[in-house]
Amino acid sequence: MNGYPQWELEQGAVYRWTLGTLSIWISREAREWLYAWSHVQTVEPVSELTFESDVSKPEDLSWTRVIAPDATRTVSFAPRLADRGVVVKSDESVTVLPHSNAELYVPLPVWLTVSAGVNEPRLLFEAPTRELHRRWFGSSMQGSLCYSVFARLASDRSEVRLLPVSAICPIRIRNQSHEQFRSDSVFVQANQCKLYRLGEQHAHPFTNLQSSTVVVSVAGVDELSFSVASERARTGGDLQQVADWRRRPDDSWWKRGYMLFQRISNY
Amino acid sequence: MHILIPDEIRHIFTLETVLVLARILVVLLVSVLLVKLVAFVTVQLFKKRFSQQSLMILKKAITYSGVTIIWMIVLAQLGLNLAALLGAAGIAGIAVGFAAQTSISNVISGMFLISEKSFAVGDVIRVGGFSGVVLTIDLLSVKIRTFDNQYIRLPNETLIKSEVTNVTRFPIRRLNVEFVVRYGTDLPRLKEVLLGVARGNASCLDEPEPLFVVNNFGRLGVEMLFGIWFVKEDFLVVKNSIMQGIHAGLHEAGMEFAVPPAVQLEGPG
Repeated sequence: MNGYPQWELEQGAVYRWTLGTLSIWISREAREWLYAWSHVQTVEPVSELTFESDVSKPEDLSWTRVIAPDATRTVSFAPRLADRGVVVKSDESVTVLPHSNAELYVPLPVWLTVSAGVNEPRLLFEAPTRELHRRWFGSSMQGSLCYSVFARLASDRSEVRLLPVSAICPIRIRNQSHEQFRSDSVFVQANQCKLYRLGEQHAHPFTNLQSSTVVVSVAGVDELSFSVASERARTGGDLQQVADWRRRPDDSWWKRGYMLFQRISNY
Repeated sequence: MHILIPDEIRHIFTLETVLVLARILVVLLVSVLLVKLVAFVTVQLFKKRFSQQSLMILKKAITYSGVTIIWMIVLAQLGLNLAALLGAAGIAGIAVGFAAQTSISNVISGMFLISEKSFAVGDVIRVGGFSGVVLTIDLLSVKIRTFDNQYIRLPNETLIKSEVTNVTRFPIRRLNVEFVVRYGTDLPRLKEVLLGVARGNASCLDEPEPLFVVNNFGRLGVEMLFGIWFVKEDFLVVKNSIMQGIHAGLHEAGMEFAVPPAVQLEGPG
């Protein structure tokens, strides 16, 4: 499990973990796991996973029951990227000059996955480490449902204002057009990105996270193409993959051909 | 014991005739199974790529074409002249056409409905006084299931002539909430309250942004329009939660809806 934290739970006791604004309650019964989670906005978000035992679950939350496939007592935690696209919006727009490239860095929200078992951990559930708002990306007739994040589009990695728990996403913009490309927001297919961790394995498991690089090619006004770089994210230090993509990037010729057919035939 | 069979029947049921009938039976069995198999495999192949509507049309096209071919094979086996039969069918068709004008009109309307693609299976449509989910689009009629679980058959001709609203055509929708607040209400503050209600509602989308419009200065007060965008599947959740949210938000902010003054009815004496 890439050195991510594990706990052994006693039967019948209730445990609580907190990360970001997310609080999770878990209890283990003889043949099932019980869990509940919520976001607490009143407390300061925490960037490290904190643990409390012998707590009680808030009464307004109800347990979700999962039938245990085996008699394991171990529960483990790991980070993962969002389950759909993320639009990072900034107060200031960024301009990329014609026929030039730029690299921007934005923070992406991170999910916490909870699995049961040691050798073959099975996913019990996952939840975002901060409360996220949903938005639409595209026109009102066609587009996709995304998460919305407000952050600065930083031109230097060190300038990224990280959320309590987040991954840095490098965005490579290739402006191949004859005009300036100006934007105050960036769409990242977070569900198609892999998640990596920089540096020491056991030191701070939920910090120093980085996603795959996203490439934005600008061919002209309103002619943008987004893709997730298939090569490993570029970094200077030791890099370790901690989570795979949720959906394989749409880069196959078959898929592109079919989408073209759909556009032409209106089917 | 001998059974007496009339000569006419004996002449019909010769060994050759029995063989032809057996051949037809085998052809019917095999070809019907084959058509069903082809329809099933095709639907399975395109299940992930085609819409439910397209799959239904594809399946029907395969079935109807298959049935036509089977009939032609059977008639050929019976030794009938297909050219003469088609000629006779043409003349009969004119006669039947006069007698079945409504049905033919429905069939042609059905073809227009399918090709126009104003709605598809699974869409929610509003037509006449009915709203419901489209179950099937057939050659003669469209079947819908209303939200109180009634089954309604709408003739295609009626649909072609009527105004049809496809409620779920686009992936997102806007819910317009119209209400009246008292004159003297702090409108910038009201906007803040309403935007706060939308932000606090997990089903409301941040983008497109909520719409805040001062609609009119009415007889009772300032008429407002507040529109929030949501994903079409969330309609009921959004409608209930946003109405309650607006009510609670205005109450917390010390604002009031404008209501007509109570009418006092006084009896004689």
